Amino acid sequence: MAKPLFQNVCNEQVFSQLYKKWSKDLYNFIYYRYGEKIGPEDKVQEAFVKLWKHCKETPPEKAKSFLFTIANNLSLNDLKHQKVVLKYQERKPREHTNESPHFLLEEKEYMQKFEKALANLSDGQREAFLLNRVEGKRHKEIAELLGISRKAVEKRIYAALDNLRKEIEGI
Amino acid sequence: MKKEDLIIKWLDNNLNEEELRAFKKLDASSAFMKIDEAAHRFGAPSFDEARVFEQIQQEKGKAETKTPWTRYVSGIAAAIVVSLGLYFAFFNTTDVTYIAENATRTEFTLPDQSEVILNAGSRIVVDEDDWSSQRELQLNGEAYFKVATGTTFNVITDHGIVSVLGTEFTVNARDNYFEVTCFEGVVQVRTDDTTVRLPAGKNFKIFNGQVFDGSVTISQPSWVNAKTTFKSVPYYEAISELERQYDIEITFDPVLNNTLYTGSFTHENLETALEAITIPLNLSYDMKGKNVVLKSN
Repeated sequence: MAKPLFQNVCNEQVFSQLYKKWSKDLYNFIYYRYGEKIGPEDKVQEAFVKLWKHCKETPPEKAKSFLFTIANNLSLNDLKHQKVVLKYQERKPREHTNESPHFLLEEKEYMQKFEKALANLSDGQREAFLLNRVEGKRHKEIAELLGISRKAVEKRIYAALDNLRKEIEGI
Repeated sequence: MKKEDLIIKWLDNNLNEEELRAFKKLDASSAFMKIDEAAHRFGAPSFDEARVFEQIQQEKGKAETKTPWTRYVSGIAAAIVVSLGLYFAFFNTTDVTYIAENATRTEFTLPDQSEVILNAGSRIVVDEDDWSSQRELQLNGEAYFKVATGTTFNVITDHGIVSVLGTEFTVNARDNYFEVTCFEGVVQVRTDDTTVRLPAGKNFKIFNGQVFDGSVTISQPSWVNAKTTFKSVPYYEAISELERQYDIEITFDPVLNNTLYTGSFTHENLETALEAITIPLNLSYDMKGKNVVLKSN
């Protein structure tokens, strides 16, 4: 069997490559799961510093699950079971607007309902759904990222969509 | 197909045309599409990769307890790494350049079978040997991409970076004009000031320092079929495109520069094309060899 080139991650190059490869995914993972309040950037930073401290015992192929587990645990410690509320972005002005004030008001109401419904999803559902819809990740990629089966990802995303519709429409 | 399976396939952007029609017939499909659109506004704020990395480097420094001589050795090691890096960067590049001269169009396939059509007066530089580890290319001009699924695919331009995972889109990066249109899947556009996600059927333009959102109803750029179509673009950009397609030079009153032009011209007949671009603005043209002068009537 081929011997891996690097036995552990105590090498600046290996470390910065791991950072390039995983930092954004890790950030999204924490953001969509726990929201802005938890400080997703700080969690990414702490997880990587911890990885460096434990670099001797961590081979490169184990680094990803180390990072995701640490960042998740750090967030869980901080989270005191409050609801996760994600904020939506206000829209930029359009090229031309023929939207009536009535339409804009309706849209605002819709977005507020959406925000509430999103907060009512389970962390796992919200995360899988937004990674798929917003980040454009395929089901297979999300499964690899979260370390769960593709079927489980599909179930979560479908349930999220179904729950969102039911809550928004008040069914 | 069962309703649930159909919806799951839709969620994976994986429906064929027939399935898409079936999906659209579902009672809830419009509600789903509205949810999809609204979801895009819940995107995470952009992640400041460089700044966080710098903080990590600082924290790491505190965590290290090295004796002076190991520092010395790691200094030498770092110097070797840097010089090797420089060596490879300067003496070992395997960049391939594809060029479409004015009045031509070039088609080619990348190592992963992604397809690219390069429009007139455009250039792409690719490091093909490095392709398997990093799908990245530099674009100057306009191109249509049909990307094979896989890792992130980056198109680097002077105006910003366009990233995707398997999809169809065009990028037009000219001197004073930048436009990205997505035909399938989702692309992300990152410029110095902003990050935008474009789902299928949407487009994004920057000119005169302003950002514009818009949508398209076509499923392929018209220039692939020897025709150029514009929707609210500055007149200078329409003229520059005509110059590139026919390899001519056009002179016109700069007052018209920022007039918005909507219309199209063919790549196959210069006279028809010139008429298409002058008549709507009440102009006429005068052609001598490769030089054309536009005048107001």
